Amino acid sequence: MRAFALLLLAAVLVASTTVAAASASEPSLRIKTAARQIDLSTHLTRITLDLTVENTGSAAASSLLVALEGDRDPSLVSAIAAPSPKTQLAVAREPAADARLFRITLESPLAAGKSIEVTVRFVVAGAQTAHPREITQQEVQRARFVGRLHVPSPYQVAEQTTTVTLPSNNVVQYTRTKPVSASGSTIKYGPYHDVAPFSVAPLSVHFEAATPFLTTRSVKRLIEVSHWGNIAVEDVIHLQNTGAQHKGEFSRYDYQRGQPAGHIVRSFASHLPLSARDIYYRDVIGNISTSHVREGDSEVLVEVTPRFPLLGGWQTVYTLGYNLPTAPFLYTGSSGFKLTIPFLDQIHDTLVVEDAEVRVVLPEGAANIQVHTPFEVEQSRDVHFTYLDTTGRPVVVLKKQNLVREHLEQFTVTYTFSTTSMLQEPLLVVGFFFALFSTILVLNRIDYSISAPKTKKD
Amino acid sequence: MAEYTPYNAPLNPASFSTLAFILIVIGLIFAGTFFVQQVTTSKQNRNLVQELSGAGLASVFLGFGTLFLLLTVGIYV
Repeated sequence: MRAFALLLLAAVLVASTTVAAASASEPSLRIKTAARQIDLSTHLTRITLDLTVENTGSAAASSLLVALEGDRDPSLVSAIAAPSPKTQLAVAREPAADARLFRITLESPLAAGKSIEVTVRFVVAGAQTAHPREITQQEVQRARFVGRLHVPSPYQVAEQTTTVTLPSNNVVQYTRTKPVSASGSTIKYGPYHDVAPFSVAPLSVHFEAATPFLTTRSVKRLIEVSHWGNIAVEDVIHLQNTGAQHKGEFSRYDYQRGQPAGHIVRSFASHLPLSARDIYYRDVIGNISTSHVREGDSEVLVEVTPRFPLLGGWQTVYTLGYNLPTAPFLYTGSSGFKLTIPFLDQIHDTLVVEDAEVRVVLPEGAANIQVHTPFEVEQSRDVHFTYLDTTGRPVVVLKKQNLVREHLEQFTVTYTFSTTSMLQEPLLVVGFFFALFSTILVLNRIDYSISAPKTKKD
Repeated sequence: MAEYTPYNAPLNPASFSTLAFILIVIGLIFAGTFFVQQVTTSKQNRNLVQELSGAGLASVFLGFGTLFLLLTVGIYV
């Protein structure tokens, strides 16, 4: 009997060591507290996770996993940890089939028994869907958000709360899994205790979304650098109201008469750099006169009113361009030139760009081109021909999908360029004029007379 | 990392219009002189060097004048 007990003990010991060995590669982490904030106040869903992660294993953990609900890829995932809130942690998508998992690499490994506070932010476009799908001009738009009641996590969560922020007090319906409390435009869920990993309990909120679902389908930006002292920027912007589809006919009378419904885009403000000048706003028809430029302290605001209000599903394409002086954007040094310029401007406040293409046209003769972007982009090269070009100007083409306001940082292009090659363009014109005058010289020396020269008789 | 200083154009962009005007006027004077010379000088009194230098001066002034005219109107080449 005693021998049997010893054998059983040995078997248990062996089993526990194999479990420990299996989890050595994935240290056993546990989330002590999780506070999730789901901000639905605009059509861009912003989710903030405040996690206190504890390492309950024996090995140090160098990374941790976070999950995201829904079937939408986030536009942005960023993470910071408590002791150094300014350092962005590296976030990489896990190639997992069943969930949207992201691996966050910690600055220094988390020792066994220690805990760390991590804040993760997600920005997701398209997580809210208009419901009903179609509304008339006068109706109020409602949207539905479907997510998970519990913080999606591959780890056990000891205690968690969720706060949902809505654009207004008007809630049609929301998941009422106790404890839950709603006051004003916020709904608080929790605290829930000891939730198993990957809980699938649903959370759905149906609310009044009186702000327009303004989505930028594409932006094509052209930046032309001239060493004669100018940087020309031109954006071709395709906007669409991706909220509830417009049903019935559009009444201009009803639209003008009262306060139009909140889901209709009447006008919006674009934020341009402070030194922007010669601003133009036009489309295929020509100049659009309904815009106002206001100069702020740190930026130039262009109040853009499209030719027609954008109702659900309606779209518009327009061009907005301006000139910048070289001084605060183009730098010169011993190793060449450096162009530091915003990737895009804030076209409107709840910016989400599905497809962005930035083409940087450098002066003819620029070489050793290098691009540094604050986020990953698809890069390629091209050649652009314009006035007084011979071999064409080198173009850097940058493409990025799913861009939000947080991406609007400056990027840098460095290149070498000989200042004397600036003289190439005027010399081309000089050569043209000289060829013209030389032709006159030659033509004037040709003898056009029909009869033979009479020089001998003189 | 190399030190960088803000880059400014070799000439102040505000002076482009004045430059364009002056250079084109001078260029037109030279071009005019060249044409008058071409039409009035007889075959015996021709001087190729003088004519070529006149043409050269006219094209230099007109060429740079045209460039600054382009820059003034906003075609930043």
